[in-house]
Parts: sequence; structure tokens; C-alpha cells
Amino acid sequence: MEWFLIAILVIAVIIVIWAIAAYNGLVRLRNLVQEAWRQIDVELQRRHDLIPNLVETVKGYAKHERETLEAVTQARTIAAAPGSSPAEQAQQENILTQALGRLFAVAEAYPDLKANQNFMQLQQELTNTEDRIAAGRRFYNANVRTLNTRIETFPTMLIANMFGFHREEYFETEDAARQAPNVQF
Amino acid sequence: MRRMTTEGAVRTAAAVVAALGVVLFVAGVLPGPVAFVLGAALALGLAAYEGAVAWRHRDEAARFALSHGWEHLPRTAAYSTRFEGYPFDRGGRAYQTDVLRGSYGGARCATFTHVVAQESVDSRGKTSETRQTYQVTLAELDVDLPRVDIVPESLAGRVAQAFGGVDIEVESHAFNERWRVIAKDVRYGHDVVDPRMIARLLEHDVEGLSIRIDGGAVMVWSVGREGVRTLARRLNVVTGIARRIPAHVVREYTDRGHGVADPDAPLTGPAWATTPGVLTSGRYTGVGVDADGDGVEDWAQAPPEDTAGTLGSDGPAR
Repeated sequence: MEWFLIAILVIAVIIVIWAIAAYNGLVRLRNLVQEAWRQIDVELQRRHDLIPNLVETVKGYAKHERETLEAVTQARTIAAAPGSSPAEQAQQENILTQALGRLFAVAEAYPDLKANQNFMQLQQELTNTEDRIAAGRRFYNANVRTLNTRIETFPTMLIANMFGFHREEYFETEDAARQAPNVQF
Repeated sequence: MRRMTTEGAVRTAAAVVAALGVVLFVAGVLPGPVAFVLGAALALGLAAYEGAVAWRHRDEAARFALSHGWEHLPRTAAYSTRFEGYPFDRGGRAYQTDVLRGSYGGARCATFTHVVAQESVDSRGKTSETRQTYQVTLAELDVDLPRVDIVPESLAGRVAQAFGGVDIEVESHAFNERWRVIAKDVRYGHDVVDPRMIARLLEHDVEGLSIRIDGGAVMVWSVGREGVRTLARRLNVVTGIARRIPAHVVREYTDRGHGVADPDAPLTGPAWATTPGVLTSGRYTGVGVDADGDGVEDWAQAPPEDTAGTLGSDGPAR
């Protein structure tokens, strides 16, 4: 009888230790996801800060492209507004990326603008920022994947449900961005 | 799985024969003196074989350097303190032999046999030296990046991960099954192993290699010596990986001041600092000093007759 009680006690202690380790692991992962999101946010903010300078530079050469410039400014304002979830932010950033793409396409028609040192530097900075955003998105999605897998697999899901851990959203591109552009000559 | 080289097969065969001899001796089948003579003959034969292998390796390296315009150094210790981690942290006396340095695929590359010699003293006070050799091939980078190890996944690695060991998992299951990525900064490790890098590391020519980015270089290393026959494959791997390090990672660490100076670039600075021999000319009296007021700095003056040929003299300037 005594051995039986000791065995039950040992099993109980093991279960408690495992539960604590599982809970702490989930907390670490959730914090990692939040930190990864903040890092993306820093890069997104950097992109938002570059855009006004870009718009002013382009305006000096392409005064008649008002519609394109306004689209960029409006998309930037929406994307820079706080309080969006990762999925919403991803959608807003995709719209901004498309507007910037149209702006650079328009700039192709203005050789003086393309040769402008400030414009070239801004273009390079934006490209670098886009690379860093892409890297940040990969890292964020990797952490979300790990967290979501832990939350959904047994037996960690028991601890996750007990303490209110939930799936996080991925930072995804829009379906339109996945389609190859239809180029006609 | 990598094919065993001829040298590896010979060593393995010698080890098997030695083990068999020990078993037979312990079992009483092989008399002591016979076992001793056979053991000594085996040891001498293996030593002679190793010597022949080393000589052939050196000869191949020298001929390769001559025919491809590469530099060949028979022996150096220049790389002993440059890198961290296995096999550079084995302790003992470390040096490099048959160093080949040159340009490949637009990158400065090098390959060498890293030798670690460790002394041990037995119970009778007799000192013996054991040597371990590793073949290292590297491509130099223009920036000093933090260390990241990409090693083949193994059972030991999986056990280590189960107990908290580091392995950075990426979005490719095939990659995660094949490789283990170890870096102190998980974010940095993730940035380096981007989709282009993943695609490169899933090719067949990197099988079995251990890869490290550290100390301004990308390197692959393996146990034993590898000749020039496999050099092209190793160089393709290191230069391919070096080209695929993401541009934003390179830029980030360059902006942080980790850029590596080009050793072939001309020296920049004032003439007194870049002219060879100035500081040992016996005429150096200080930067910009023109004691006699003739408009020419003292160190650039013609050597005074009374101090000619005197090194390190602090005699008065003329």
C-alpha cells in the first residue's frame, strides 16, 4: 500500500513538473511571437517614414501624376494608423506595396526623376526595408507556426485551453499578390 | 551517406586488425612476443602509409597551386586563433598544413589541413602525441558575421533538442529533417537561412558536410584530409553559400561596423604612415615635425650623414 502511495505521489509530481514546463514554454512562445511582431512593426514604421520624402521628390518631377501620389499617401496613412491586427496590417501593407509599385512604374516615364540622387537613394532604402520586412515576416510566421502547433497538439493543448492560450494569426500576402501579372506587349 | 576514402578504408582496416590481434592475445591464441611484433609492424606500416599520404597530399597541393596561380603554404598557424568552435577549440597544439589560397567564383578562398596535436603522458611517464586532422575549405566574406552552424541532423542532435538544444526550424520540412541550424541569435539564424539558402542546402553536393559562417568566412570542414580532387565541390559549396547570404544581413552588419578590410587594397593615410620603413629609419621625430623650417617634414629628409645606417636612433633631425 505504501509503495502504491509513493508511486502515485511520484506520478503526480512528474505531471505537475510537466504542466509547469508546458505552461512556461507556451508563455515563452507567446512572448516570442509578440516580440517578432514588434520587430516587423519597426520595419513597417521605417517604410512609412520614407514615403513622404519619396512623394515630395516625385511630385517635383511628375506634377501631373496626382492620382498615383494621392493613392500612395492615402495607403500610407491607413497602414500607419495604430490598432490593427496582424491580418489587417498585412492587408493594409499589401495595398501600400501595390500603390508604391504603381508609383515606381510611373517614375519610369520621367528620366530626370530616375536620375535624381535622392530618388535613387530612397528607392534603395525602400528595397532594403522590404527585404527586412520579408525576413521579419518569415521569422514571425515561424514563431506563430510553432506556437499554434504546440497549442493544437496533445497533451500541451490541455494546458493551453486551461490557461486561455489561443492561435495567433499569420502575416500573409493577399491572394492577388500570389498571382503572376498578366503582361501584354 | 558519404563514400569512405581509400585512406579511411586503410585506417579502418588497420583498426580492425589491431582489435582482432588484441582479442586473440587476450584469448591466448596469439603468443605475447608474436602479438608485440605484429603490433609494432602494423604501427610502423600505418605510420609509413600516413607519411606517404601526407607527402602525396603536399605534392598535389603544390602542383595545383602552380597550375592555377594559387598560393601554397606548406605550414602555418595563422588560422589557429581566427575561428571558434570545433575543430579549432580542441586544445593542444594546432597548425595548418598545405594551405592553398586563391580566387574562385569571385571570392577569396582557402583550403588547408588543420592539425591538432595533443600530448598525453601515460602511467609510466612516457609522453606520446596524437594528431587529429581536419580538412577545412573556406570563402572569405566582406563582413564579419556572427557564428551560425549548419550541421547534418543526427540522432544525437534530436536527443539534444529534446533536452532544450537549439535548432532553428524553417518553413521547409525537408530542410528541417536534413539539417540542424545553431545560432545564439535565433532571429539572425533565421535571416541567414532564407528560402534561397534553403534551396542551396537541399542540393546533393552538400551532403555530409558541416558548414559554419563565422569570423568573416563561410567554411566547410570534415575529418581527415581531402585532396584537390574534391576541391572544386567544396569551393562550389562555400562560394554558393557566401553568395546566398541575404543582402540585408550583410548590410546590417556592415553598418554596425563589422566590415572586413580588403587586404589587397592600397593603404590610406598620411604619407608618413603608409611609406614603408619610416618608423625604423632613424629619422622619425613626430608627426608633421619640421624642426629646420625648410618646408619638408623631417622624416622625409635625406638621412643625415652622422645617423646613416643607425636603426631606431632618436638623434636630432636636420
